[in-house]
Amino acid sequence: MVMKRVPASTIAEFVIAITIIAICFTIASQVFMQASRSTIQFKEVKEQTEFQSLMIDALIHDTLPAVSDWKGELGTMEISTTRKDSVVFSEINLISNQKTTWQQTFFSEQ
Amino acid sequence: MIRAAALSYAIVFSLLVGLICSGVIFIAATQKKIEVLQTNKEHVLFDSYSAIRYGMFMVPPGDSVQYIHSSGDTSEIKHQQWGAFSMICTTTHKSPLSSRRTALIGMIQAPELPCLYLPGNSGGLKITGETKIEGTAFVPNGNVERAYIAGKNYPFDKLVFGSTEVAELGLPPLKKEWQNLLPADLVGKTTPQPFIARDSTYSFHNGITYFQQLNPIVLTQAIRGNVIIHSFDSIFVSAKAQLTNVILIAPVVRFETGFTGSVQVVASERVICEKEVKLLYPSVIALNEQALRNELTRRMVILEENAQVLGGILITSQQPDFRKLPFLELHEQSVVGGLIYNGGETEAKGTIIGSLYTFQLLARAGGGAYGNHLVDAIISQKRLPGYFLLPGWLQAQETVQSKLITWL
Repeated sequence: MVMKRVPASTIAEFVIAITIIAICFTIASQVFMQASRSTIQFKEVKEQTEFQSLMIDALIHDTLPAVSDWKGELGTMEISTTRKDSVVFSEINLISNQKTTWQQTFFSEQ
Repeated sequence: MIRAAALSYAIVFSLLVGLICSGVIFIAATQKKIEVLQTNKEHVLFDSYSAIRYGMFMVPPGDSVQYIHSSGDTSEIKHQQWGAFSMICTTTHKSPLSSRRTALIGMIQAPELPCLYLPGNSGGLKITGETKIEGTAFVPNGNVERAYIAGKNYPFDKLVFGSTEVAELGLPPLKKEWQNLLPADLVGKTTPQPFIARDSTYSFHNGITYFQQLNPIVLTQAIRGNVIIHSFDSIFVSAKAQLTNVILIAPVVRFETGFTGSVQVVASERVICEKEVKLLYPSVIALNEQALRNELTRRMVILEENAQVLGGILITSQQPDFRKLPFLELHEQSVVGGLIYNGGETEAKGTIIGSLYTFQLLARAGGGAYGNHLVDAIISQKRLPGYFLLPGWLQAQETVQSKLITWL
């Protein structure tokens, strides 16, 4: 049986190839990490939805929500009010990880 | 000659990884785009509701403003009159999205109105049968007595389940805009068009659609929204018609037995709600009697058995003839929820949840007619639900707070 010997790559070629593969792995892992890390996590989405339900209920049924109405675990609800004559402007914020994830203005009258 | 090609393999591998990375980046970018779009949609939705509230409190009637929300959305807010109530129309934009919303609003009025206001300086009010007066009653000389008519006694211990006050000689005055309500006050400068008999919804974001015709109009269609239907003869509303927030103007308006809908009626001669007619909240019947020219027919509003009006009834006269005052007749089991202001005479055999202001009362029983008597009538301010907003027709009523009546 005749065996054919295939000449090996040069060391330079081998080093370049390994470098390319290493760079590819690094970039691919970074891309994957960035892509898989969504801007908002599932629990945050769930809480944001609960906050929005509270807000829509307040807006439709004409009742300003109280901080005690908020039952969320990750985020906190903060209400800051300013007055102009008889009208009260309430800024209702949902704060999660020291970041305001939702802000809603609620107008009411006293 | 064949050679081991580590570099070629590496390049092919890198191309493959690049392809996969591109796919991942594309998916991530699309997801981000969808997320931003959904967030924008949510902002537009919330801000459109918020804009309605801004309009309720910050925009005076007849005015329109543009408001910029904290999210950057902009809303065009319009506050206008719709019959006896106010209406807020908003359009909220966040390019390329927009959302339209409309709501009917009313006002909480103060002070709380009495359940009954009967002016004059006669012997007072006489009650019998199953009559129940709950709330504050303003009656002539502050006097309420038991009566015995057609074999009926007054069975309860208390005459008034509340307090009694002395009424003035006349009814409390109406606000100027309600003293002589004319079609032109509602229609403005809108150009009329002939009535088209077809099912339609008219958006409050467009101008008023004003149908006008000389002949009688028979309504059998499903019509809702920003439309005024005016006949110079009469309007007959069939039981199968579906009217929602529509304004009807005619000398004579008649609702067929079984009709249900929410309408505001402006008439000058007669409004008849046949049996089982239900005018839902917020509905209003306004009858404005113009000067009579030797006419024999009496101007009247009649609610037959089990008819129901939730909102208010306003009866005014521009030249009252004291022998032929405008007449409001509430038959047995009929219900009016809200405010009744009658510059004429009222015969109440049904239930009034809210307030009754009437110049005179009449009871016909046992073949006789008795002035300032109530037989089997229930008049209660206490049973009025908290969310129920009365029309602000009286000068004494001061607006305390705007409240939402219904979404349109």
